Amino acid sequence: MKCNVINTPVHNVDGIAKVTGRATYTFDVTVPGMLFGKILRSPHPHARIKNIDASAALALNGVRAVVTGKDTLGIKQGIWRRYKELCDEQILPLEKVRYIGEPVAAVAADTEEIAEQALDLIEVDYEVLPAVYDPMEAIKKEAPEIHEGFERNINVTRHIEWGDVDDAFDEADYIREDWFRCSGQAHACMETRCAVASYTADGKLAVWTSTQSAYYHQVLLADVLGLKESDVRVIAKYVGGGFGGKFELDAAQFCSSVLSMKLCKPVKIVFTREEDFIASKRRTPMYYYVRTGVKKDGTFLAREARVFTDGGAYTGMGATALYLTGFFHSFPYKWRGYRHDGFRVYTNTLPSTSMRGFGTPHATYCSELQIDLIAKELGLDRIEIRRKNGHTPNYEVPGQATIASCGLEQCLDEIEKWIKSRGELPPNRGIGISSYGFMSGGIFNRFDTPYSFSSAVVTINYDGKVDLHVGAQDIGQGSNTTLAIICAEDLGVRLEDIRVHSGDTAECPPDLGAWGSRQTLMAGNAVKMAAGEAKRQLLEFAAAQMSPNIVYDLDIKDRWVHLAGRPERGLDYFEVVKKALRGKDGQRIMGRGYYTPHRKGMISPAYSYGVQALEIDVDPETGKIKLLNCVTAHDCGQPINPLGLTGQLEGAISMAAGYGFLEDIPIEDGMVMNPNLVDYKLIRAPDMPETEVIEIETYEPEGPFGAKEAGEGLTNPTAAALATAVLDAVGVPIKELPITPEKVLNALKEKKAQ
Amino acid sequence: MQLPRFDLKRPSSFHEAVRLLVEYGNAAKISAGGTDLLPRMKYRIAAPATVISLKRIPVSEPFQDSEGNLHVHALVRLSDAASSNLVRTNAPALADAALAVGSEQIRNMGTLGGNVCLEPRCHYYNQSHAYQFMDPCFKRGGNLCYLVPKGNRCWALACSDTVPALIGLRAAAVVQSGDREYTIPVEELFTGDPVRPLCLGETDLITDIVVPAARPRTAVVFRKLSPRGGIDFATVNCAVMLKLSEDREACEDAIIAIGAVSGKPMRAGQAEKNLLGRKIAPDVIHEAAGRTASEIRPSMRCDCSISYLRKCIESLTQAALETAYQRASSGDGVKPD
Repeated sequence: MKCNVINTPVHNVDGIAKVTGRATYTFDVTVPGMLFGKILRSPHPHARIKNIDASAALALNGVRAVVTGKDTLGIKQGIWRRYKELCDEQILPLEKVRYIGEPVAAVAADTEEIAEQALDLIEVDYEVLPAVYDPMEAIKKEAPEIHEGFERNINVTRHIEWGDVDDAFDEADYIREDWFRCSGQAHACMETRCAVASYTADGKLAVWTSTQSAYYHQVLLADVLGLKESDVRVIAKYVGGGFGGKFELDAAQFCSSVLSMKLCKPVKIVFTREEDFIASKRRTPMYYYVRTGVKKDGTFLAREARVFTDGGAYTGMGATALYLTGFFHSFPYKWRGYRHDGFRVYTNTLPSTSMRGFGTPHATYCSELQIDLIAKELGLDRIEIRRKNGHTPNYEVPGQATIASCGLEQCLDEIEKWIKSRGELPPNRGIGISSYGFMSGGIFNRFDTPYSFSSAVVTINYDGKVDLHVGAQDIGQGSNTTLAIICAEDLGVRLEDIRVHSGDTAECPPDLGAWGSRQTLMAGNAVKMAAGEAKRQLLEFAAAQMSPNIVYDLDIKDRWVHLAGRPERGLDYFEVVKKALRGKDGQRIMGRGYYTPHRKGMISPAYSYGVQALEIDVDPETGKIKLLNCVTAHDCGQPINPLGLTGQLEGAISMAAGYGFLEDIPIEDGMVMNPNLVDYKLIRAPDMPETEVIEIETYEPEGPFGAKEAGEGLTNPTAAALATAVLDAVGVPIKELPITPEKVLNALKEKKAQ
Repeated sequence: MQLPRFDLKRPSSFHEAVRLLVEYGNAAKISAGGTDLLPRMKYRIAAPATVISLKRIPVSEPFQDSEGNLHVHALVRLSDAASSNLVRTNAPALADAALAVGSEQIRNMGTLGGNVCLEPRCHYYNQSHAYQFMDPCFKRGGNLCYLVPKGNRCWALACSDTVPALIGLRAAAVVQSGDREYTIPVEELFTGDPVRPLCLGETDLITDIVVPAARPRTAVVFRKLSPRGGIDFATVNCAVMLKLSEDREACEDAIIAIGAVSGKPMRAGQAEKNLLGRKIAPDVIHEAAGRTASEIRPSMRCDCSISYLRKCIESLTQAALETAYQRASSGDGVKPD
């Protein structure tokens, strides 16, 4: 398809505001009369709160209020609102604390310093209870009960099955089973969790916050505060990163709101980096058992997997990670029989939640490493075995998903070519590969929204400039730019003609926000529909003006309203808009668009596909890994902004490779060992490999202009590619993330001993 | 996280700084760049009532005296030490070590003297204790160690990058003590007890580092192993000095200094002695590295095992010795005869 705006690399529409320091993040928000809040947190992993005495804190000069669970409605909240039993978290608990760092009280004071001093003056009387920190321990009969009524601390179970699994295993020539262990990971957003809440005497609450979905927080806050949704306004114009960690209600948002409602004054709470590490949420750690049966020629027959995930203290969005890891562990391959049993187990550690890839990096790591081991064992080519079993266009995953576009095969071809071009490698050098895929937005609606999944409003003003209102949330991934491009393309104007309004529930239509790689497809469709509607209105007037033969279609391209097929006959877009407005009695031209998926299975309307190759060097003396080259063939349908795609890819590699070999959250007796950016090892620029993206263009019929996701999916392959690269370089499989130098060295030692 | 309140004193000479130290005693802390002190203050593990910042003390450029000894002011920024031509030429190991510290921003603030006096570090100690690990450990004035619960001492690690290099260079520190000035080899600055890591008196200040004149056929090499490229404290660091005989074949003098694995930087005395007089060859270097790894006793730590550290010590020492031998024998970057 010939596009004017789409597929031209552009900088983000908010780039100038950001690089000139003019973008106002929540961190920067100040409101006249604003107070500062601080949160008192539990030092115990599991304890009953017997009494809280705040009298000394309240006596401190400058302290305005102290709130505890008793100042709240005590509503147990969660993001799976359809399932009441999974709404299990009181952000200021009334009875029990379940992890170290859980909020127990919050203070508002004239300065941050006074608020901090006041924390020391609050006396909390705890009855300490026995605690458990590992899911394999917590699931035992004798383990302490973390939530009432959850037998063996099992929070959620999930069974996925299709085909006759046992029958398929019977036919297998070769069966392999492995245990894997996947670590947690911190979102480590540049902007820590923060909020400014301002409740006014007219009963209305405004909350500036760092969020992935202003709409979610509007609803969640209304639920727990006993307000009408429309009386809560959530504003998030600029967000310093989310990565899956910012669409559940957090303590900054909740405590600042409760304090503000008590005082009728604005209250600001900003988490310290340490609070963000200890007392927010993290990627779900998992224990994985995988059993796979194949034919001698490498045809996949059956897979059976069991996963035990460390849920931490509360459900949050973590239950979805269990579901998605179960589905994507089958990806992107065809199985005659597939069975996945997932158990999410409560522990007395910080809760686990969604994080970029959402259970899939784990699933991909275990799956791809095992596939390489199988290929090695059977003497098969690792690309060939993937090609033989990979998804193809129009494939249906039985009972789960309908796939339309799928460029997996082209991706494998490109990666095979690249690997060949590398030639013979020196010793201790290896190339790992990983196939992957991901959803373009989730269909499951456990949040129970009554609105359409995405919506948008396009308004054309007198001067032809366009206001685009979206509920989609830009969290740095560039969705405002993507949506502006889609709008400009459809309307036939230029990118600079569009002004995007997002991140404010008072002015933007509801939308589920930025998660599950959903915005390009879902919000993109809504924008396209809204733009199309506005365009149709405009063309009605243009047709009346131009009075062409009725059989002609009209179109707009690059601000030129013309007869389709006879572009020389046309009118200036700006002139048409001016006249159209007068003709409509002065009303602006306005189009509304929405998107809700239908009849596309249970998971997602469309799937991205890709294959990544990662070349590494392993130092056999120290076990240290150096990343050299990373080439990714990615099928995201029609790319919208190639520069944005590259940004997403490089960001994903840094995050996913970090997950593969550097990042970890070791927990000792419920305490986080590395709650700072020195000891928590994020990848730095010198550790990054050279990166290259090969765009595999397909056309996704369900996506706007054929587009699919290009955000989270890119996080899925790298840990797997790293593991298969280590296998290729030095011949050892490391079945536990992160792949630390010590694990590599131990495995080499073991191999030598054999 | 905000800094706690404190009084700031900004003396304009070491004399004045020492006078302030005498006046305020234990309630004062020195900031010689602040890159180590300020984070600890934010974590509330250092809470001095008074901070004596040395920022206003004039810093002289590195210079060479008539005997060829290199004098480096203690308050020279690490980035300046790393880029100084004089340091690069006369003590490349020191320049390499200074460049290995932290990140660009940290090197632009941190000073050589500050890095020499770096507080020993531990995961349990170097973090806020607002909600976890609240009971004070030995290093925080308490009576327990989280790492070795049954132990009776602190196991924090001396992580300075410049110290092993200075030991390899046989450098000395010039110390201002009251009105008096004295010189002490850098190697002898450390007690080995991470709670009171320095042998200096409480009101003593290091004012200069003196690196003896480079000798012919001698190379000093610094190496660092860390999880990431830059910013990290060393998993292990190492400096070796190798002086060859006139025929450039045998070892005449050697130092192997290993840092970041214990409460103070360690020398591999046996391995050094074993090198003396030996003709340097791959198997000799290999043997020396192996001896170093079995002789040095790394402390327990929470992010890797002792046996892994020994492997790293061996690998790092071997690499450093190989480079040192190659430089000393070829004369590359080494003082001519």
